[in-house]
Amino acid sequence: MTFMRRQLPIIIAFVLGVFTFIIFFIPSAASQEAGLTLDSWVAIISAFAMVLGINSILGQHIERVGKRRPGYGYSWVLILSFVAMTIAWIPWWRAPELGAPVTSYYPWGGLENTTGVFSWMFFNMMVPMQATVFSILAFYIASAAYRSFRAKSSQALVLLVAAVLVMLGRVPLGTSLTGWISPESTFAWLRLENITGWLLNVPNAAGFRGIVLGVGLGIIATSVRIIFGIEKTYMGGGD
Amino acid sequence: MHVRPVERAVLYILIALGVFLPLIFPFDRWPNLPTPEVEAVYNTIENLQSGDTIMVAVDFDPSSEPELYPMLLAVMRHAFSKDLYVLGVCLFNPAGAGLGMTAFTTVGDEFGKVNGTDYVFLGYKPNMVAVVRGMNQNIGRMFTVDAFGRSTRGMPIIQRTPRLRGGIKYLVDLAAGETVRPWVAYGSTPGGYPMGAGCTAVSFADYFSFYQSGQINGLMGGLKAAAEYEELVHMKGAASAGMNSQSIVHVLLVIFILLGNFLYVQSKLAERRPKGEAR
Repeated sequence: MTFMRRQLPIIIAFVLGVFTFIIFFIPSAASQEAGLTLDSWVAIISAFAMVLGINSILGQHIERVGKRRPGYGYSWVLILSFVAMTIAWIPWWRAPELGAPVTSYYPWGGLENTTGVFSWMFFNMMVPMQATVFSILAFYIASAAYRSFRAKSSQALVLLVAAVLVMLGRVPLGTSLTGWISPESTFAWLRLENITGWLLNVPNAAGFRGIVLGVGLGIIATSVRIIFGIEKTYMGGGD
Repeated sequence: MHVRPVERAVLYILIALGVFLPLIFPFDRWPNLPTPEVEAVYNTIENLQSGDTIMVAVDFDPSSEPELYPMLLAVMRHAFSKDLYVLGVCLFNPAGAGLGMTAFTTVGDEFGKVNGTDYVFLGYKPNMVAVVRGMNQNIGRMFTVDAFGRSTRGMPIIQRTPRLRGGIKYLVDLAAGETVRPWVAYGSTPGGYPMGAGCTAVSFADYFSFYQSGQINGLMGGLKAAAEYEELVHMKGAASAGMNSQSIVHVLLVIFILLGNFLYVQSKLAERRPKGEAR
């Protein structure tokens, strides 16, 4: 069984890794067709990974409810929401054809049924709740800006000045503060939108380019390690 | 520095008022001048010919809906007003598919476009890299059905544009996460089609280097860019309405930062002062 658990995954990763790498550079119809088939397989396998994810999150919350751990009430909310949306999503009856008039109320099915319960739950519960959670960030940022954004060193002062300029330069009220400077004048560079553009275009882009190059090199190195069986953590266990 | 509950309450109330009041009492005071990176996306679509096909990737979920959904509507309205064919897909999060379906059908109905003929929304599929690579070669193989569960085989728009490579004239990725990078690497670069992107304001700085290098020819960042696009297509919507709120909140944040630093410097000076003098 050790072969199935340890050697076989490494062999599959090596063969498919090298094969995918080679066909990427061969523009023939046969290699493109092989690549397309592999891509379809990857998409299907990824869908199974989502099933594993659902199983994992439900398992954790069921366990928390079972052991009455702190905050288990929230786990109930997750479990009941999951069950409710799953039942609502199942197409118990056949949906009418797209564009055909909906002659009778038909509550089940996915988002394709715009009058169904699932669609109602999605647009009237899930969308506003997710948007609200993200919007609450504005309040946290306000508190953090007041509490923590301190010019304690020269570097922090540079960051602070840049942040203030970009924050003002990215909104109409901010840019209107320097709107009196003519875009054709010698001092046009002092307009807030131009200062913001320079900050984004020069120091920011330089920094991010370095990060992106580093990430790219990291991805290549990790891929090579996986293909040649040096990196095995993706198999889990650690034994 | 510790923030007292009263101070925190005042901060939150000011932010809430800064958001709500301009929405309740709208005004048109500060001009929202289009930036070159937003104009680049607009100009690319504007210069396409009637009958060309573009792809709009709805790579965001409801958490980014306030910023990116108005952008999606503005781009869709521009495309349909130019009589372009539009392909849609969501490769970021399954929840984004619902937003894409609604946007495509809503704007499609506004312009009298036929679903499946003038536009199609293909829905969500996991593993973005594989799907993008596959769509470059054969859209129908990667998506056998669209988001509404209809077969794509024989669908007029898929027959017109069976693959992204050589089939579309422009790609716009509206991204809440790390989707621009894979679209550049596996979509537009090997496919040979130009690409623009829209993102949340938070991600704007991340993607600016892609714009600067020319890997994307335009970049729309946050609600401001959505409002700029609405101005360019002369169809003001939710983004334009939200810009006053955003302007006021940004200025409030700057004031909070300056006030916090003023108090910080004051406390440091007080610490340095001899105790007797302080009394």
